[in-house]
Parts: sequence; structure tokens; C-alpha cells
Amino acid sequence: MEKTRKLAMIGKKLKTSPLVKPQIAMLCVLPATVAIVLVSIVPACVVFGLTFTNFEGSFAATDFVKFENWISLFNGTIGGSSGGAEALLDATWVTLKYSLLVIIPMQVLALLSAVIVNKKLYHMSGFFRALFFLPNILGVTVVTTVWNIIFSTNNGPIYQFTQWIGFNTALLGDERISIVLVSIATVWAGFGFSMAIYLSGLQGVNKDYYEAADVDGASTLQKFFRITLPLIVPSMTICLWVSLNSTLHVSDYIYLMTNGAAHTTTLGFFIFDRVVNNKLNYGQSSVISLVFFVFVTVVMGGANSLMKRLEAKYNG
Amino acid sequence: MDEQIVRKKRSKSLASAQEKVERGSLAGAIVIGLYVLFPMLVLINLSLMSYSDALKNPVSIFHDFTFLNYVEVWDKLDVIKNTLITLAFTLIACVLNLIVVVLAAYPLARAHFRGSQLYVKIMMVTMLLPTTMIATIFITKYVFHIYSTPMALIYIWVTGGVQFNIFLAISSIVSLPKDLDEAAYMDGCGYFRCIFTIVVPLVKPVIATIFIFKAVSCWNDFMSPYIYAGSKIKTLSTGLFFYKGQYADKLNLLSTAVIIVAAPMVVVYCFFQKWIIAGLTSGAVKG
Repeated sequence: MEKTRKLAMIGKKLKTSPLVKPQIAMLCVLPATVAIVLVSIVPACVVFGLTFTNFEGSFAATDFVKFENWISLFNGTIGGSSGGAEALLDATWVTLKYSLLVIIPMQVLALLSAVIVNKKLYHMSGFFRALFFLPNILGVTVVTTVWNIIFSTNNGPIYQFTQWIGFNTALLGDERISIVLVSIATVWAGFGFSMAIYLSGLQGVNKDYYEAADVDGASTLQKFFRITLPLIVPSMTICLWVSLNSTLHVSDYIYLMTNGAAHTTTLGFFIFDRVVNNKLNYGQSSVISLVFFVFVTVVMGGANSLMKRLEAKYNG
Repeated sequence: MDEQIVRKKRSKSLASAQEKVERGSLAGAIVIGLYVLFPMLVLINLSLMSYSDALKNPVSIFHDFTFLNYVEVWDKLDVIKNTLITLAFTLIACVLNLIVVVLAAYPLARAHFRGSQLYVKIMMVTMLLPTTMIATIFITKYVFHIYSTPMALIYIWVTGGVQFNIFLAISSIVSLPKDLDEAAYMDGCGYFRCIFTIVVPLVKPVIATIFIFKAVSCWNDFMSPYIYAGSKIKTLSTGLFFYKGQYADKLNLLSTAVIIVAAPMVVVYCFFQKWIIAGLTSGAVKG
């Protein structure tokens, strides 16, 4: 105690506290460092290194095939019998389709719900907010099983309805609409989260703006599009970022609802399926994973710059 | 006089316009509520049907009500065992993750060693690196040899989301006054004691946020237990998945299984709904 008092009374303003030994601080950061290295740095190096091999399970039987895997990517023969470049391009297209099918309805529904729940609703707004958020906490397995039952062709509700209107379809087995059905399930489970973000954004809007608009005789629609919408662009950025990130990477919804059948294989599922079912060796899967990473980065970067331009337009 | 009449008329029309908006909002809320509730109601109805009734028409309300499904599923699904397993893994992973995060966030927030700012910047950059499943499978299988064991699941869950949680914790600890720790150190408080008895109680909201976020995502996680935990360990998610594989055509049993698996989370949600919503979304807003 004496020592620390003396140190404190030296009166010098150091950047770090003289009462704390840096060594113990670094010791505390050590577990997190190990975790970060193991989870971010090592896998990145491993995946990059694996692209130059044809590892399949034993270190002894592996060769350094150098650029063979990369070349097979660019001349379209990657994946051999379990899906060449056409399958990859198809999966990319399905991923983009799925993202659009999920994000646009989800954001519209979430924004609408947030606006509705923000009103008093005869003292039931708390109930509705809780109800709309409920599907979000149910988890993938529950949600996909629920919608598998609803979309079941064993006389399920939707099947009965489509038969009744004369639209003959195998629902989840129908190539044309299967991905739409999966996106309906995804929107059902996810819109509560975006709604909660929009809600906190809405509550940050100054009520004086609306009063001024009322004095000027603005209609409800005008108030919404001219006041509310520009002021919640930051919330939109967050929601877009989160939704885009999860829909581009999706693999569990696809696996649990259709197992990739009927034209629903997204890139994330493609990689999961090939790796876990051992259809490709580690080298080729790594190449596809890296390409997937680049794809996601490009799309997210594009969306990010789009949102930045929107934010600048409305905050300037 | 005229002006008063005009003002009254305007406020009246405003009030009735507001009434219309309130009523329209309620109508909209009910429509959206039906979209949310429809699958749940169909499932509850199905779970009370016998198999033959489910074959005939799974959607009709006119059938004999029975609770036998619940009895049968309860036996086959090993509900209590799976719930306990999921609970144990989730709690262990969340607590360990929180300890690692808090231990690291404090020195970084207070810049207790040279290069702590550089460390934070590098940490943010590592969040952008590809986190591929194949590399993780490779590492757990051929380097650590823990693939298909419970240890792999703990490894995945504890190390997941560390950077983001540290970032959240740092932004919260940074707002605490430095004089507080200094006073504690001058009174002879140890480093670890300071973290856990002084700093942590003051940032309880962010700790709760991190815990809730991690707990909900681990509880509902399907892919990680499915790929890494091996077939002896069945969490609620993977248990339901295997059950679905067996009884895919028996819709009444499947619905009962879904309700039983979803029940714990729904019950917890009913009690802690405000905290859960706040916890899950404030993390995203801050990030």
C-alpha cells in the first residue's frame, strides 16, 4: 500500500495507470486472444492453405496439388460429378433470389408492424409487440418444422387451398415456388427482430415534427413518407446489414426445409452439403468457400455504400 | 368567435382523423397477428388430433380431442434429457464466453498496456476474415481431435462472437470514470477483484445483453450441435430434427413434438420478454 501511495504521489500523468502492472493486464487479454486467433486467424490461414492440397482425411495421403484446384474453378470443372461450375452459378443465383425474396417483404412488414405497434392500439400495443417478436425466439428447427407441416402435401392447409383453387403444385417440391415458400417461413421468423429495431428508431423521432406537419395540414401518408422514413434511415441500415448477412449465409433453413431439393440450393447450403457429406475433398471445398467469401464481401460492400449514400442524402 | 369555431372544428377533425388511424392500426395489427398466429394455431389443433383424424383432414376443428400424442412424444423424444443437456451446454458456454470477454474488455477499455488500441483495431479487422465451416471442421477433426465430441460444441460456442461481445463491453466500460478504479487500487484492491466486484456490477445492462444474446442463439442453434457434437449428445434442436426424420408423415405427433420443444423458450419469453427483446436488439443497434 505504501508503494502504491508513493507511486501515485509522483504526480506524473502517464498514459497508463502507474498502479497497474501491464503484465497482469496482458494476462487477462490472453484467453480472448487465444479465442480470436483460433476462430478468425487460424481458420483463414487453414482455408487458404487447404486450397493448395487435395486433403481427404489423412495427412499421409495428401499431396500439394498447387494450383490445380484454382484452375478447376476457372475452367468450370470444379466439383467433378457432384456439381460443376453450373451448379455453383445456379446456387449463387438462388442465393440472390432468396435474399431479395426475404429482405424486401421482411423490411416492409417489419416497418409496418413497428409503425402499428408504436400507436397506442387501445392499450394492446405491448401484447402485439410481444406477439410479433415471438417467432424470432423459436429457433430454426421449430420454425422449419412448423412450416414443413403447414406446407405439407399430406392434405396440409396450404395444399388444400391450392387444390381448391385448382393450382396443382407439390409446394415444397415444386421448383417454381419452393424458394418462395422457404422465404415466407424466414420472413415469419425474422420480421420481429427488424420490427424491434425500427421501433427504437421510431421512438427516437421528435414528435414536434409531426405536430408541425399537422398544423400545415399534412395527411398521414405524407407524414410517413416525408418525415418518418427519412429519419429512420439509420435503422434501415442496421436491419439491411443484419438481414443481408444472414440470408447470404443461409444453410440451416434450406437444409431443414427442403435439403436443397427443387432448386433451393443456396451457396451456403452448397458448401455445407459438399463438406459434411464428403462429396468434395477439402481442397476443392476450400476454394469454393473462399469464392463464397469474396461474393458475400462484394454484395455487402455494395449494399453498404448504397446505404451510406442514402444516409448522406437524408442527413445532409 | 369565428376563430374559436374554426379551431374547435379543426381539432375535432384532427381527433377523428386520429381515431381513424388508431382503428386502422388495430385492424393492421390483427391482420399481422393472424399471419403470426396461424401456423401456431394449426399446430396446436393438430397436436390434439389422433393419427386417423390427421390423415383425413389436418385442418378441421371437428374431431375428437386427445392428449395421447403428448404422452407418446414425451416418451420417444427424451424431452427432459435433451432439455437438461441443452441447458447445461448453453449455460457453460455463455458463462465461459462472458468471462473471457469481460477479462479482456477491461484492460482494453482502460488501455492498461501499450498497444491496447492497436489490439482493438486488429480485433475489428479479424471480424472481417472469412469464418469458414470447413476450416473449423478441419481444425476440430485433424488438429485437436475433438470433432464429434461434446468438447467441440463447447469450443465452438465459447469462441463464437468473442470479438463482437468484447466490442460491446469495451464501449460500456469506457464510460465508467477512471478515478473509480484508481481509488480502488490505491486502497489495495487486486486487479481481478477490481474487475469482478467493481466494474462488472456497474455494467450489468451490457453484461445481461451479451448473456441473453449468446444464450438465445446457443439454445436455438441447430448447425453447430448437428455438425460438431456427435450423435450421443442430442440438444433440443437436433433431437427434434431426428424425430422429424423418423415421423415425418405423422403430422399430429410432429406438431406435438414441436410444441413440447418450443415450450421452454416460450415460457421464458413470456416472463422476460422485455429483457429478451432489448437484449437481442440493443446488441445490433450498438454494433
